[in-house]
Amino acid sequence: MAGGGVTNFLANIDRNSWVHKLDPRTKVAILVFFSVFPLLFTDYRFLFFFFLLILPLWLTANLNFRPMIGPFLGVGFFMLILFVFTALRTPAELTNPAPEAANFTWFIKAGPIVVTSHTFFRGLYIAGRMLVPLTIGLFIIATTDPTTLGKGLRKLKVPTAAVFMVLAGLRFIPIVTEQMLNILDAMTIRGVPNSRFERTKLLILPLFVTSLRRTRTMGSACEAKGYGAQKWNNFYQAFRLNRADKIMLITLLVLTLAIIYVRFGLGLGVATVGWTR
Amino acid sequence: MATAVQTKIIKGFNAVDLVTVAVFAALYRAAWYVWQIFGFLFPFNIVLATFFATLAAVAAAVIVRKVGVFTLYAIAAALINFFFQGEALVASIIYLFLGVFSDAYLYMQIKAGKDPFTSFRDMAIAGGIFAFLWSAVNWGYVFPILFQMEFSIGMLFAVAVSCFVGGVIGGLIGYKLGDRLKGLIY
Repeated sequence: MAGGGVTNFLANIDRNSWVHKLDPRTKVAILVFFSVFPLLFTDYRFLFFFFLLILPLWLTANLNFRPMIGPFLGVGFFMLILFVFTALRTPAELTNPAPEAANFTWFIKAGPIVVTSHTFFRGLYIAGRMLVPLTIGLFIIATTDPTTLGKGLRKLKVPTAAVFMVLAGLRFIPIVTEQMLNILDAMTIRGVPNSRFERTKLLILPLFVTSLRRTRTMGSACEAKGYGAQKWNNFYQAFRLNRADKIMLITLLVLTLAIIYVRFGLGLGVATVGWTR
Repeated sequence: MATAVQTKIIKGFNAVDLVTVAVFAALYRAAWYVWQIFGFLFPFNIVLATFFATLAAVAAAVIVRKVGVFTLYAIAAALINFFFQGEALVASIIYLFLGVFSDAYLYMQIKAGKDPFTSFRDMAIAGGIFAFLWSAVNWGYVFPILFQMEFSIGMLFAVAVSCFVGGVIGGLIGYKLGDRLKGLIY
């Protein structure tokens, strides 16, 4: 399942929606906005606001979610870890003198593990706070051709070397994973013992060698086509901000100013339930 | 002689070098699934993350053999992680600079007339610097402050030290791996 998710994470880029048509620079602005501002808040109502903001983007982007199950599971697993590590405490939590921690309405004690209403909801806030920042990258990569994204980054003056490496890496992730699966299949056919340690040990060198040989072929092809011989400041593909881009950018700007005012001007957005810092 | 040394230090990266660094960053990203399997050991499964990160960084340095590899690797890994896995932007920006001090060490070694890329000791030190910064950033800021995860000071210290040790071991293995791969891919 995870392998299929990795190799098909580009399965949605050819779909048609208003999100797919956005300029890559607008998408980078969306990425920055949703990566930064949710982290300023710990009150669940404000976090829910960001969730409501991004939900229409996901729902109107005409996405097939099946290829993205693997990455979603990964994010979900990390959020579960965040929740568990915050919610599950020791019995000392029941006598925690901190005023916020002491104001719990219920608790569950199972041996050395204690969960109170305070730690439970705080765990939800801590985990939920990461939902939007960790998934926005997936949203952008699912709706953007990597080459177009790279051109957009170049338009934003990101160095060519960094963009080139990101594109090369993104192209190679599915290739490396397929190589790994091919090598594992070959091991099975050749009767290699089923021991995970033995298989991993035998997998590493062939995986690295085959991957690196392909990189050298790709790199040599780029060199043959004159990579690095001149600065690439002109693009065959025209980048113009259309009406949807302008509306999105203005909306993001207004939201940014409003969020900064609400958070730092009015001092709102910090959880009132059980927040100790 | 001074001119020759200066030329070697400031040598640029060609497409083959950049793709090699990128594929090591992609391999590190693929190894993410390994420490996800061991998620029940959290936070000690992050030792594997540091191990693979340093292994890939040092192996890339041994193969590419240019100052700046650690920085480029950190940039590629941070950006691929940000776009593909999902990462907090602030954390990604910090990760961009993780390789700088390792490259500074390699720069000083080359300026002193040595070839650090063929020296086990120098690559072990460069990998150790990388692993130290990786552990310090993750357990000094990212997990306890950015992700607001509550750990005792003792636990934080234990995990940070474990990750550092894991990274150092990864660096040592990365040197051996890179040295072997050099002969197989040329």
